[in-house]
This record gives sequence, structure tokens and C-alpha cells, in this order.
Amino acid sequence: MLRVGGLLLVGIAWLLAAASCALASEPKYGGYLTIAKLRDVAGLDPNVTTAHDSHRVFELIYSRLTILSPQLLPEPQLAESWEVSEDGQIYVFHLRRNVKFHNGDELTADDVKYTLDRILNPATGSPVRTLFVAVKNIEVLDKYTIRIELHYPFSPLLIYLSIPEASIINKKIAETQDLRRPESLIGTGPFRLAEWVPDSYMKLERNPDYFEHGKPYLDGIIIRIIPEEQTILAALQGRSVDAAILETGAVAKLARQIPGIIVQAVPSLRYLPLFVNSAKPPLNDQRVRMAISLAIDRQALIDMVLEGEGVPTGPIPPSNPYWAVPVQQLPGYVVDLERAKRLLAEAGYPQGFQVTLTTFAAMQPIAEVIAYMLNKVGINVNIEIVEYGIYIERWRKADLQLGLSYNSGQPDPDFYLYRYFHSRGDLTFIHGYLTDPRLDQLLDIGRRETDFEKRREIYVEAQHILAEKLPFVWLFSRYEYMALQSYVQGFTLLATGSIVYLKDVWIEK
Amino acid sequence: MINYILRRLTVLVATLFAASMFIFGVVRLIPGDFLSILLGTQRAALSEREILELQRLYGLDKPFVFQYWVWLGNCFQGNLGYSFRTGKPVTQEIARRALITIEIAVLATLLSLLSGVTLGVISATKRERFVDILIRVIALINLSIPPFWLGLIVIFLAASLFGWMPWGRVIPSVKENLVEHLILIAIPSLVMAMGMSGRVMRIARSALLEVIAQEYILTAFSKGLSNKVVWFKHALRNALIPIVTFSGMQFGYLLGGVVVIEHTFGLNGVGSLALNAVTHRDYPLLQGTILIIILGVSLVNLTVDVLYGFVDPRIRYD
Repeated sequence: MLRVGGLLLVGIAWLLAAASCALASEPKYGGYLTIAKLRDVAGLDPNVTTAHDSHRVFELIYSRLTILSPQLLPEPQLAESWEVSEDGQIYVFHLRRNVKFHNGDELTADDVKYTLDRILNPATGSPVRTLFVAVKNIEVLDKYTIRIELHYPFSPLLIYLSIPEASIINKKIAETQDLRRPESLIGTGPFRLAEWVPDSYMKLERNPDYFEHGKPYLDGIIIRIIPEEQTILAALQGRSVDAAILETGAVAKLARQIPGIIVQAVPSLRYLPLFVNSAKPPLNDQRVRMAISLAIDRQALIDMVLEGEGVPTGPIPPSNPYWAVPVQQLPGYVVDLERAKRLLAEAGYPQGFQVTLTTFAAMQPIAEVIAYMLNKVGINVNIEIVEYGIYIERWRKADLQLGLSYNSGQPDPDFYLYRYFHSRGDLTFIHGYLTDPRLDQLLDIGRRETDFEKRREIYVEAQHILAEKLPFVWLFSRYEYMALQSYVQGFTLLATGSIVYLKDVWIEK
Repeated sequence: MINYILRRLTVLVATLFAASMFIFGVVRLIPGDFLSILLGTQRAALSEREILELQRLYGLDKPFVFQYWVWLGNCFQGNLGYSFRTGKPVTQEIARRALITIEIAVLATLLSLLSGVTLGVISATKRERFVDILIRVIALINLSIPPFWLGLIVIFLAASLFGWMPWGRVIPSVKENLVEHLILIAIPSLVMAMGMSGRVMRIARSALLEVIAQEYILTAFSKGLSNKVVWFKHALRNALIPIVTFSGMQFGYLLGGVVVIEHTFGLNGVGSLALNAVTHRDYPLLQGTILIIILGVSLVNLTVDVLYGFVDPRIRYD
């Protein structure tokens, strides 16, 4: 466990952030917390739905084998403890006893096996199956013990077991009911579904049988959907909501000015890359991509479109401080228009060239600023705005020269790098199969290495290679925000945007 | 009259049938299907086989005509299917939300008619005088202010001046608190009615001025009838036809405007339901909602046509 100790240090910054709301006294019981949010769920099947809006609900209703600490390290949740074999290929999990589903059924190793098998079964169509392909076999040793055998050592496993899609479902319900229906939202989480009017509100009530003794403190939570962020702001001001998940930096700034409102902000795991399709000229030339990177002033971009509410990012976002190389140490992050022009000339484009940047309406302001910046070195950007659904279709077919949309993240470097940049990754099509043998090698050993210190060195080298080759031009990460009335105590927002720590929240009035 | 209404209802059924086909096709023609929206760029992580399995789960793997046939069959039994996104019955979702939209639409129409016609009459009778010009300027301002902006201003003023922002909470139902319910519905309705009343005022004014220039009005005046009788009994009644027509047409527009108002005030009506259904490509919900909206608009138009008979006795349908 020594290597985890090193990570703890890194997490101090998070602890400090979390401490600001943990100053208060003894937790108090009772009360409903109304939390405002822009959109309702996008789907109800926890093992399939990757939408963040759905995750916020899964986090409260279901539990997982592990839970992420504020430092983004895996900690025991449904699994009370675990052992890893010497070769790192066998994990044995010991489950908590007397854990009850909301319908009274007891959680056993059978439910865990069923859930993981379900994710791994291609017929389920779970997009996170690719995160668990290292799993070879799952065996129930007894009612409370489960053994997972891997094809190869795979250190991100404990972290991936904490994601909302790995929510443990009730085998009996999954076999007899449709998990896409609200009646099937039955988990072992701190809150259970009481009432739901889609796009209006979801009422969750305290699970009296919750396995963490004495928790949750609240009688329940009302997730109120208000589709307009300005209206959410007014609701915070008028105190008709106790908390709100904010998405825009400008709104978070305004919220901070409201007396009695505290805004928690953590750098997000999500990041914004400029997708570059390197399959065809002129973007197939590494010098051209470097010129693009050198021409984009990321900090100015953040100041202009996000009112400063963001941080420049490299291949791994700064929300993962243990793994991320600070951008100052990466090539191509200091604006240098002269060098950019020289590189373009070397590549055979002294007059620059025309390129199309495809994105959707919400991203237009960012696209406009990028076009302006690239124009300074002679790259003429034609912005093409399409409807979001169409954008996704085009993205899927890599039918774009430059693309602009947020990518989600997980608190493990393997997630950011393997799928996109390993030649066996499933998403390499988006940049036109731009791979590198040394990078392949690094990413292979990176996911097998169990020593975190060694792992970090591997990923530092990988990030340097990527910043040179630029299959993406990484731009920035934003923040995740939670606005709270000052009487809401004990909350910790995670970099994943997770609100799972509402289980620790109480109202101090 | 009864015959007329029956005939119209027959046409209505045919219209709905044709519309159902159209809706079913158009909804599926929107690029980017439900799965793309559900999975986002993650969809790329799935193999063709996995996509096929998901399509099977949602019944999207069957031939188009077959899907339509099944849907139509269910529609006739009053079953509009289950929402892809929320897993709830579509009919239940629409029924729950219809009330708020109808309340806002009806209230906004009434308020705009009441204020618009009153102002129209005043400004027509005081033509080119100061009052007329003032009213016309007000109407122009009303017309020019976008409802979503006005809505935000109202919300902001309420929250910052009075610390009052009741729309943050779910508004109480009629049964729970009638007065509060009405107030919280009336304010958004008023915001909607603003722009509409400007339009109604203009139509009322021009219709009145047109009627007042006609010879029978001159006759009425020369018979020695009082101003009041001529304006209200002879002129206004005849000027009502374009106003009624306009209000009927306005209803379709109103459903569009209600989406914006519901969005701003965080109300849950049919408008926001349709909007969410489009963004999520929730086919069953979208089809059901559009079908019900078409039914509603058709019924309102039928009502308007029947009203003509009462407004103007010369119009007879038999």
C-alpha cells in the first residue's frame, strides 16, 4: 500500500478544497435537499447508459464494488477488502455482509457476477465493455467472495469498478424486468426512488437499510430539473433550491457573488480536444499540426470564451495531477506564430491553406476564436455548424477535417490514451490511425504495471510522444461546479462530477 | 351544423392518419438516431453486432413499414408506447403535462384578446390622437420584446428585488394550492400574452377602421344613432371575424412560443416534452406528442370555424 501513500500527497489540494465545507460541527439528521440541474436522465439502464445526467442518479441509487476518494483513488464500497495475486492477474473481493437492495433482497456475490458478466456480454451493448476486456473469468467462491481472473495484469481495474456503469444490479430484477423502466431502478445505494416526474423532478428518499452505518443524514433528495441556467441562478438567489449543478463558468462566477452561496469547483476529467483527421493532406503532416498547436493561445481562448474558468490541458487533463505532465513541460504550448509560419512553409504551405472545422451550435464561440487564432498564421478555417446528432454521426465516421467536442474522462491514464492512441485501440479512426510503435509499447506496459511510480514514468514518456505527434490538439479542461447554500454541509464534489458524496451531506439550519 | 361538425370530424380522422404516416417518417429521417444520442461518441466503441443488439432491444431493427404498422395498431388502442428515455408510458407523460400547456395557452389567449381588443377599440376610436399613438407605440414595444428575454427579466427582478423565485420549486397542483398555482401560471401567461396582445391590437384596430369606413356605418350615423351603438353594435361585431380567425391561427404559434416560456420558467408542459423528445430522438414520445399537438390544433381550428357562425349569423354551414 506504500505506493498509494505517494498519491495521498497529491490529493492534499483536493482535501483542502473539500475541507472548506467540512469545517462544521456534528452532522444533523433530517430534511430534504433540493438540488437543481439542467437536464434529466438520458436512459435508465445503469450498465449501458454513459450519459452524465443519468450517472448523477445511478450514483445515489446504486452502489459499486469500489468508490473514488476525493483524491480519485479506489476505496472499499460494496467490496469490503480485496487481495491481488503476485502476478497481478487475480483479484479476490470480499463483499460486505447484510447489504440490502431497496426491495429487501440481500446483495450476494451472484449479483456482482451477474452485473460484470452482463457488462462483458456483447449482447448487452454496453459501451464500457472495452474497459473490462482484460477480465477472463469471474467466479463466485462463496456468498460473499468473488474471484476475478484477468488475461493480463490490468491495474486500472479497481478504478473502473467504481464508475457509474459498473453499478451492481439485482440479478433477480434484471432477469425478470426491463432495466430501462423506472420500476427497475432498485439498487443498494444511500437513496431510493420515491417519485419521478420526468423533466420536472425526481424525489429520492433515504434508504433506511443503507450499509454505511448512520448514513445518509438527509431524509431525501429532490432533483429538480430547470432547463435554463439563468433560471437556476435566480432559484439559488431566491433560495428555492438548496444546491445546483452548474455547467457554465460565467454562471458559476455570478453564483459566487450571491451572498450565502458557496460554489465548489474542481477541474474536470472532461477535456476539449481539437480533433484532427490526419488521414489526408494538409493535416497528415506533423509540422502542420504543430503549427496549429503553436498558433492557438489556450489561455486567451479560456479567458475569452470561459471567462477564465478553465485550465490548458495536455494528453491527460490536469484534474489527474499524479499522471498529467504540466503543459509548460510539453512542446507546442507556448504561442509562437513565427515558428508556426515557418513550419507551415517547411511543410509546403507558405500561403497557408483552407480547412473545415465541424462542430455543433454550443461550441460555436470556441470555434470562432480558434478560427481567428489560426487565421493569424494563414490557416483559413471554415466553420461548419451541424446539429448535435448529426455531429455524432459524422464523428463516428471520422467524416471531418477538424472536429470540436468534449471528451469524457476516467481517473486513470489508460482510459485517456489506450483507446485513442494504441494501434489496437478502438477509437484510433478519429485521427486517421496515427500510431507509433514506441507509444504502443508504453501503453501496453502502462496498463500491466502495478507499481504506480513506474507507471507514472511510462505515462510521462507517452505524453511527450503524443504532444510531439499531435493526433489531437488538446485545448483545455473546464471545471465541475456545485453551488450550495451555506447551510448545506459535508459535500465533496469529485473531478468526475460525481455527487455520490451527497450520502455525507446534512443541513445545518 | 351537426352535419357540418360530423363532416369535419371525419376529415380530422383522415388528417390524423395522414399526419401519423408523415410524423413516423420524418421523425426517423432526423439524422442521428436514438442510439447515437444515448451513447454519444461512445457509440464508436461498439461493434456493429452490439449496435444491432441495442437496435433489437428498442425495436428499431424491424422493417420500417412493420414498425409503423405496430405503432398504428397500438395507437388505435390508445397506447402510444413507452418513452425510450424514461421508460414511462407516453400517454401518461402527455396527459400529465398537457394541463399546464393548455392553461398557459388559454390564459395567454384570453389575456391577449382582452387587452388587445380593448386597446384596439380605444385606438381606432381615437384615431391619430395622442392616445392612439401611445397605444400603437406600446403595441410595437410589446411585439418587439422576445418572450424568453422578458421572462428572464421578470425572474431576475423577482429574485433579486424580493428574493422570490417560486419557479425553482415544482409548482403546486390545482388541488394542492389553487391560488399559488394560478399566480405561478398567470405570470408566464402574461409574459406570453404581451407580444400577442400587440398583434391582436393591430388587427382589431385595422379591422375596425376598415369597417367604420363602410357605407352602412355612415347610414347608421346619419340615422342619428349614438357613437356607442354604432361602434360597438355595428362596427365591432363585424370587425370580430378577422380577430377570431387570427386567434385560431395564433394557437399553433402559441404552442411554439410555449416551448420557450416553459423552458425559461422551468415549467413542464407539452412544449418542453416535445423539445426533449427531439433532442434525445425519443421516437415513441416524439410521435405521440406531435400527434396529440396536431389533434389539439385541429380541434381548436374546428372550434374557431364553428364560432364564426355565432359571431356572424350570415355564415351558415348547412
